[in-house]
Amino acid sequence: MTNKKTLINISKLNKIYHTDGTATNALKDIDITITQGDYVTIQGPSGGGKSTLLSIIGLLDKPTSGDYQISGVSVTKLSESQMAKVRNREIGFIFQDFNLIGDMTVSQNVELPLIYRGIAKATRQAKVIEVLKRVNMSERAKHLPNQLSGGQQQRVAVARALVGNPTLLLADEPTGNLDSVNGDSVMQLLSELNEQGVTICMVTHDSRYAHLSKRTINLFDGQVVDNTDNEQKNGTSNNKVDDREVAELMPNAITSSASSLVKNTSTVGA
Amino acid sequence: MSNTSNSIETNNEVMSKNNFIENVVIDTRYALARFIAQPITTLIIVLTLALSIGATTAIFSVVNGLLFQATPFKDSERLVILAQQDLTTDQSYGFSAPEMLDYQSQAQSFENMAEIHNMTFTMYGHNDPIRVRTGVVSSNFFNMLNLTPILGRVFTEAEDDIGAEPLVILTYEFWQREFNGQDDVINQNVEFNNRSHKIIGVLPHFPQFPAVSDVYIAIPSCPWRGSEGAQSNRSMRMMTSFAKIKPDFTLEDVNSEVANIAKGLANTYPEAYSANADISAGALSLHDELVKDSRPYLYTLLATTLLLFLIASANVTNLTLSQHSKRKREFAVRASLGASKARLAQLLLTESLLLSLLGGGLGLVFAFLGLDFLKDFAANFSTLASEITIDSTVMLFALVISTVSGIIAGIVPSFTKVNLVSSLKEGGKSSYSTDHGLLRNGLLICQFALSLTLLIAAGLTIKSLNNLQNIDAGFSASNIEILQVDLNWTVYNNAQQRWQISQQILQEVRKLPYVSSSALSMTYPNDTVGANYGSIRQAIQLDDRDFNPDEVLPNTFNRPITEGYFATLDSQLLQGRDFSADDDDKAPNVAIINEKLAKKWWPNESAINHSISFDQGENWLTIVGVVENIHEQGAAVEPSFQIYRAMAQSPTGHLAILANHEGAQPQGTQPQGTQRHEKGNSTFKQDIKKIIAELDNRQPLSKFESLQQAVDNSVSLQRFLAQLLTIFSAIALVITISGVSGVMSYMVNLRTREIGIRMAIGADKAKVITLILSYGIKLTVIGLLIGVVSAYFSGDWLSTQLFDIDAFDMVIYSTALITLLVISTLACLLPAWRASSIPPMRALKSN
Repeated sequence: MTNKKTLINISKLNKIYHTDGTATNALKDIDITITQGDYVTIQGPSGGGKSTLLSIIGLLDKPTSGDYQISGVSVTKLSESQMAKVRNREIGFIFQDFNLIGDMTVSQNVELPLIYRGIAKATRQAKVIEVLKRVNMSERAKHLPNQLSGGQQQRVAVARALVGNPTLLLADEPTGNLDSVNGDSVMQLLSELNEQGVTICMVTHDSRYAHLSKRTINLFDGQVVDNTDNEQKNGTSNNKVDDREVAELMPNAITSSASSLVKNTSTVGA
Repeated sequence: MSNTSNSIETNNEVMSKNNFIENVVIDTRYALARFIAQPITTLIIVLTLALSIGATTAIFSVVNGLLFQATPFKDSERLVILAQQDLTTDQSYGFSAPEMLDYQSQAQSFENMAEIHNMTFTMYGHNDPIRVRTGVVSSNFFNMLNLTPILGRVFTEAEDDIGAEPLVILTYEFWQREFNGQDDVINQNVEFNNRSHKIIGVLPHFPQFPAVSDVYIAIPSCPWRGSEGAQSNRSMRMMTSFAKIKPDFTLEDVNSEVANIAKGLANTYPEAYSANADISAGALSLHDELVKDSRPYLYTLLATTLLLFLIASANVTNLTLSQHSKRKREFAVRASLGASKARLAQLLLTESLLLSLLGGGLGLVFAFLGLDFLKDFAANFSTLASEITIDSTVMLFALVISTVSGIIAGIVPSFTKVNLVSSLKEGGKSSYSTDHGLLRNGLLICQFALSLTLLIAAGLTIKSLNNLQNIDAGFSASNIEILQVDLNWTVYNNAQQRWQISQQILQEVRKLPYVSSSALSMTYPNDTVGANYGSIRQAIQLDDRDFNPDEVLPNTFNRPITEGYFATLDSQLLQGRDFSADDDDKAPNVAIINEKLAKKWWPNESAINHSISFDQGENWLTIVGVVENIHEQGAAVEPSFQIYRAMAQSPTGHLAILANHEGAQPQGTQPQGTQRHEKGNSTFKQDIKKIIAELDNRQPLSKFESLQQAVDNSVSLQRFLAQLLTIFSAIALVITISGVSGVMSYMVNLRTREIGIRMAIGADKAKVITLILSYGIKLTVIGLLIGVVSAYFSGDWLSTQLFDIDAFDMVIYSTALITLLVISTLACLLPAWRASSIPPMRALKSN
């Protein structure tokens, strides 16, 4: 992995929400590195900061402080239109509830990022056909989203995320609204994409799928409490914190469950 | 990041110049698909816009046609109407023939000067004899207006000379109506009164002034204008004069010059003016002359439709905001895929512009459909009404206001900051207060304020109309049919002949079985044609004081009538007696004056048996009666000073035959209602036709109407205004109510979970309804409070334009307030009831 090029580099990143004079630290001093071809799962309990972190990585939100670089370029000071451009060219999103536009057909949904990029029509159409074939949805190109099953909709969402050849694919609970069969199918698809070289960063609650990734990052109360390399055959985390450290980070009342979560996480895929 | 740039982005693939256009095409396609997918919402928006844009465009077409467009004559900006004035009495005069020549020779600022006066002739030789409205003009009249005949020719300068062959030119409308547009009409001869005239041309359609004529004849063809008296008498100021200003002169130059000429003539010919007269003259641009009466009405209507347009725009913006809120997730998805804010704004603008253009297009159709209705309205104040059309300017106006409305509706949501993360997660669900709540409420409050203003304006206009109709006009219009006869004045050229046929007509009319009372008069209340007949412009000598030549009473009229006139009109004689059959041409001259004049002349004693003289004591008229004041010129006009004379002693060629059939219905008529009037008039018309034909089969009839129709016509402008304002305020009301209903429904949707929580912790149905209702009513009340203030200002302006209303009218304000409050409450009730009917568990899960 050391030979691979760094794609995402996050250091000392904080996100604080202010509500009615009360400050909430959603992310605290986050340091994360994601290399090209990586497949990272972000896990943790609700409110742990997973989605906030994914939103910041996807440039849907801005950090309060810290640095965030994509391919060595800091993106924290980008304007809204620059961020939109980076989202369009470098990032593909897959959402839990698919977020397909209901009034558009499958092919129109998939075509949208290319329209925003200003790609010529002929090229757009060729790309759409190609990517729909890739996710086995080419026969449904003229269908509206409500004419598709959940799994099919998520495949379309994956196609839309992939059509612009993004550097990074972000998936937020991609199986959250799917049954196990469709969930497995989508996860299989993501694994295949990663094998083809696509860098993936996924938030999931489902520990069954975390083992499919190469690395698992655990967040708790806005802090990284575990960063495990799933490829290591010995089942130990290269960045594992012991129970004593966990106990320092977590409130007493939930220490035991958090510890077990860390243990569970570290053993996935072993 | 350059090293991570996508491989698919190569120069030959990326669109450049065509990018924007293709984006617009894509957005348009998407927008149309959305409209089809949401037909109800689309229809509501398009109809709302169409109604407001249609109304505004239609009114603008009238304003444009009358006020903004140049009069459709060549160099019309240089055409002016001239008038002489006596500044002492503030009376305006036309010009006599000698004065015309003086002005023509002295004025340096005129390129040309033409004259016109209007006469009525009886035309024979083509079908039945008919009464023909005739413009008597100088030969340069048509050249000044650059009118080229569509058939034949116009008059030559030589044909202005006395003794020239009598010629006539037909107007387009008369040619179509009487000659069926036949080309062989040229060189045909028709008889006007007693002279044969050759038809030499047919004019194209043009806006006529100062009055609408059927035909035009040259100066020598007019027996009066061609007479020696008219040629030499400086006091016979019967002509209207207009001129074309030389290019180097301004209207101010002309005004200054003609004022000096007038003063010079008054000094040179003092005998032609009353003593102490301060004579001046002035010029008014032809366009201003043609439209001067229309401005207040048109500006009122334009302001009203613009209010309606604002209400509709606010409503559409509110609807768009609701749509935008429902589409938050879609916009967030688009943003996550790389759409910039500008790109999203472009999409929203494309959609709203498409909707507003659809609304504008439909509005234009509405405007087209309503154009004839509005032309009839505009014809009340200007002959230019015939020129009103939906031209390119009007279409541009419709396009502009449609675009403005589209931009307003599209741009407001575009400025909204969208939280991408929450929008993607929550699918656009948010709280009402954070979801354009303030803006939405503000728009709704504006709608209420503007609707109240419009409603009160309509109420004040209706009240004004009601006041006009209910005024004690000094007569009763019920059951009175009127038929006018203009005697051929070359046949009936002396008083004896005129009185003889008048008397015969009256005798025969009184034999009709359904006529309960009848009379003849020169004119009658609200007679638009004869309104100025018998105007007295000289001082009248009274028997008990010295003659003062300067004491000329303004608006004093001399009306010949027969006995029975006041009884037929149901007007009350306050003192003395009516004329009788004994008041003939051999009896002492008698007069009846109205109460206003009696009080003016003899405020402390009875006017009966006093005498008055029009010729400084040569002939005296004894006042035998005082009648109540009659609104002769319409309810809105104060009764003038009236002197009624016995027709036998002052016969007239303008006869109005009045017949009251109260209590004795014409055969075959209905007992009540309009139908009775129409049939009654029809029977009366036939009977009178028969009577006149038996007495003189070459004498045409002029005009038929019931007195009620004349009264109704006198307030047609006010009625039209009231109708339009009522229609506009009704539309505004519907739009506003749909707005409040929509906003409240949307609020209920956003607060469903909150409602569930409230119900879970014990709120009952009534409390939930109260919660929603109170919110809606609060907004309504704020809007109405603001509306009261704006309504007061609009009412203040209306009170200066309309008859007998105040800016504040408690009944109208209260009615409008209660109406809006009640309707708003009902509009809120449905969403409130729906909110209270949601099962708490479903409400709790609604997010």
